[in-house]
Amino acid sequence: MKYFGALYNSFPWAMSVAITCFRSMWLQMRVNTGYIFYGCWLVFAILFATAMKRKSIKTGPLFSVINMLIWISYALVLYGWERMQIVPASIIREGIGQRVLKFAVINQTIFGFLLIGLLIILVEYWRENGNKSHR
Amino acid sequence: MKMKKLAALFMAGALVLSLAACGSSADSSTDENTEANAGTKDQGDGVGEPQEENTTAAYDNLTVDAKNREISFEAVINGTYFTEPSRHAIVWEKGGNADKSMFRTSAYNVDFYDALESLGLSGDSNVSMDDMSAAAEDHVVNTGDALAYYIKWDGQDEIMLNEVIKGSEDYDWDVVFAGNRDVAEETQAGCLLCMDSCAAGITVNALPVGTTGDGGLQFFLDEEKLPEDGSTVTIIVRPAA
Repeated sequence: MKYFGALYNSFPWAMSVAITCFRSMWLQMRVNTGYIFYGCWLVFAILFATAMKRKSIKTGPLFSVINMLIWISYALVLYGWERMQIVPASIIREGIGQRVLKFAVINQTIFGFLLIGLLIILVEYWRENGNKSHR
Repeated sequence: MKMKKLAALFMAGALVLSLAACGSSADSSTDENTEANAGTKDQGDGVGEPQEENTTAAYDNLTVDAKNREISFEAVINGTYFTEPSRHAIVWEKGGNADKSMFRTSAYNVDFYDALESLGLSGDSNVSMDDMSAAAEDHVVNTGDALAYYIKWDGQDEIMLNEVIKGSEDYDWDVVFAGNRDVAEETQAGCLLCMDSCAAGITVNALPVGTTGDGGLQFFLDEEKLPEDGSTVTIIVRPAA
């Protein structure tokens, strides 16, 4: 549970790399950007978890919210609202070799992950801080 | 402790979902591969021979109507290209460019070549892989017999295919049978129709190689005219009148 934050916070970083690659027509036509996304997510999550373990990075709900807002702003600047509803979902779909999964379903899953994930981080933060204040 | 259980459940759910998604894809691709291989094998010596019956099913997932001189096949819309550009119009679903195309079909592009040839059509295979780095100004263009492409779906009668493919600017629509059987078979890129001249596409819109290069003409599916992402359409190909 301690490292869920690493998984959660590295999602927007990995997606930022993937949507930037997707923006390049040359790359988009030649590379499975889904693999870039999942690969980056894994690597970033490991790096993030390592940094958390060494206590060189301190995260909390505020960090996660700001992190997510920066990613959403970047994606909106890069693609705009209409394309934003297709590109991340398309990257995720391509990465798992799926072709019939609806973009709307993937977008709802992303939204659910972001929302439920933030709640988990929030509850965990309250639990940790509550425990500390009772000691 | 409760938090740990909640997180474990959350992650297990996500894992099950992703495994289910990958599993169904892998299963179907195995089945389709088997069918495709069987189909290729079954064609045997019949490849390239004129079809005598009105409608034949000599090729898997391709319908060849020799009497009316038309070929039809089903294809699935890739909604990514409602907003993103692509130069790959129709690609065999097992081909290397399948995920980069506007329409994906279970019809094998090499079978498509053979079917076109069975109608007495020919392509010149005059663009080589070395030509693919040419700029549009070099005017490297595929030549071959002219073709007409149509599309239809539930609730929509046959219309010209170019009516549902938008360009970033007005573009010429002049599809030819490019040939390229050897390159298509060797590369397994899967292309049945490219939006500009190509060394691997069986048929191409005869714009010069490099037309769709960086900063060049871009093609998109028309979301306002087509049904939603994942819908199945029927593509019909005939010799141009």
